[in-house]
Amino acid sequence: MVPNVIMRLATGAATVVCAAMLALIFFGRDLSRWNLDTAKLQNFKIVFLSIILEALPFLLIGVLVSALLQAFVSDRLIRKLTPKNPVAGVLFGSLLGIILPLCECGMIPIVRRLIRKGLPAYIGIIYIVAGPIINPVVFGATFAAFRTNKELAYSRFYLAFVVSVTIGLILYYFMKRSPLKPETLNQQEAAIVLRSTDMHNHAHDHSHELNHAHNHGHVHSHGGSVVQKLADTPGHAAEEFFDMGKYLILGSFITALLQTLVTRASFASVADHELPSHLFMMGFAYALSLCSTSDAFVAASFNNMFPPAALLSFLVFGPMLDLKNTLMMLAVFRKKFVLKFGILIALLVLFGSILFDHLGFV
Amino acid sequence: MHRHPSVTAMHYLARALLLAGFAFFIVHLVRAGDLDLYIASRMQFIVKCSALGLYAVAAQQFYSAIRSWLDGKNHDPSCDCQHEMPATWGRSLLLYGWFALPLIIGFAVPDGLLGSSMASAKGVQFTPQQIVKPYAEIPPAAPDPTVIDPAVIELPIEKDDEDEIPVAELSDDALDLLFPTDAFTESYARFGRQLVDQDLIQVTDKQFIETLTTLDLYRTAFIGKNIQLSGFVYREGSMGQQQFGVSRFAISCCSADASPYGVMAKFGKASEFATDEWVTVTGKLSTALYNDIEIIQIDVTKITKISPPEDPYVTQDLDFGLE
Repeated sequence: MVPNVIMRLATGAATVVCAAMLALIFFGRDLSRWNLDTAKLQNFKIVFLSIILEALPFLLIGVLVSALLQAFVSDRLIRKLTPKNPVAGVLFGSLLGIILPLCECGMIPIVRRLIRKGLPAYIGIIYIVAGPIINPVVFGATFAAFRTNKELAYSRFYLAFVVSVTIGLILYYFMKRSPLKPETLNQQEAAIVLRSTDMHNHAHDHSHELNHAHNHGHVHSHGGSVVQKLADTPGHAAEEFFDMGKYLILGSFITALLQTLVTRASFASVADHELPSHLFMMGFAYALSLCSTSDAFVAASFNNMFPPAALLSFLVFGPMLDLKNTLMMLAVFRKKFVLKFGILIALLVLFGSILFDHLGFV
Repeated sequence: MHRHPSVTAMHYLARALLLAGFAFFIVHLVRAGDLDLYIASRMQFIVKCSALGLYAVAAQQFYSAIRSWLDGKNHDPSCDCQHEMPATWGRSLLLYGWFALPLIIGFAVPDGLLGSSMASAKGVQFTPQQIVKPYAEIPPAAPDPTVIDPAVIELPIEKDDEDEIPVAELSDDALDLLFPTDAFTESYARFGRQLVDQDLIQVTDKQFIETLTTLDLYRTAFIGKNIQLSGFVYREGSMGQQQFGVSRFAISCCSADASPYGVMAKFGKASEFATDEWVTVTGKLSTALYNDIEIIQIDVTKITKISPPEDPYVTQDLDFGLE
């Protein structure tokens, strides 16, 4: 039971920092600005809580589906359904969002569960990247927001697809270790989650037995009947809720602070230069941590301030990687992996949208 | 590895309380009618459902707490999922305190509407036509080239100003001139042709953004027309003494994605109205130069204070242009 001390300390440190910032907002640097600061505190409250309230249902759906998967879907079934061919696997991961349209808050617990159950990690991770964009709900929202600029809406989906397929292939060929945090998997299990299962038949069987042995006591003591499994589901859900929720709250907190304190006028000057405008919009998407169903409307409000290609960067990068989901990923994946993965996404989206721009797609 | 059952019971109890706290907070917001402040109406149903889910999970945690307490045995979930309860009291306190923070803020900080301070941080959109114009078409800080010079089509406008000629008398050609379209603006032109008929153009909550966009896009056709809209008073440094913005926040999912839209209003006794006060203004549409951009402005003839509407936000009308 080596606890993930660092994560917990980080959460603790963040709490203290945030409390300090809150106190700063509260008591102001100057008492004559008390009124302004009360208004800011209220703004902060509204944004902070609205993100949490908005994310709660999706987080709940995520943890409930994950708990149901844990109870009712066997590892064997997952392995059987998973495509063995890497190209098919990558396509499967990219398009999974069309049948399982979830936002990223709900996705991460499900993907962790699926990877533990033997879904190759690269497929799970592509789903985290592609799922928030390539799904019918986001499709509808994007076309509603950009009804006047259909090219941009289409480009969003093409670029998201290209980027996630590229990431999938890169992960398939270069990811040597399990991306999950070390204490969440033992060595043998780690060996099999990396690649499609039949290539590692030996390791697979091995770990399956091992897994089984690990489960044994619990499963038997609880009978394992359908009723019992159903009764256990809320318990699992609660565990995961508290696991994931703390990062959601931290992400919402920082996002709300940024939205309250940073003014939009302060960044108008970067809009005229190509590279800065892209980098800026990506950074902005990262910090805002909007749900992918609503970010298109926010992007539309920048329509004349930034070139469409920069908006494309915003629309593709934000759902794939933002502050809130980075923190949630840190709960599940190794820190180094999250860092490399984040840099990879950023580079691919940046080059992708500049390329799309020069090819005249947007 | 095994902790005392009563400690486990305390953990379950703390979790049950927090989960129920979130559920109760949602119910509290619904009861007080304040959920509108946080969540767009089309997303409210799912948020209400999540309160039910939270209650269910809270009840189960509460049950586990009692069972751990009475049985004197640990009932850790039957899985290999390696969830762990925090190891020490300090860590437990941090974790549960962290989850309690949004609840404390939620109950302790009074609810206020998003107003001018948020609007100025986000920047009020006074030229909503920019939403529908592709980037290259409008160079910033220059008059919009697609707007027709009023001098070119004197007939409809001049007469309109004087003696309210019914628009039915305008020929189709004149209307076409007034409402030029391209692929981007077709639905707005169609909407504009409907609006121009009306004696008083009311900017409704349902189509707030769409109406403002139409007025802004086809300002030439609407100059001198009577416009009425409601919103909060918004001021910023570069406005004149007699000017203020009448603004609303548009949200699509939750107030984190709120973006402010507004129309400039000009009124002689503007100073009688405090910033963030809610007003309904009626007046004739004109234009004004603001921050080197020509924007639409309402020359206010009538202004009344109102109380903020129940739903202070407006949303994009997803059906606009699809009828």
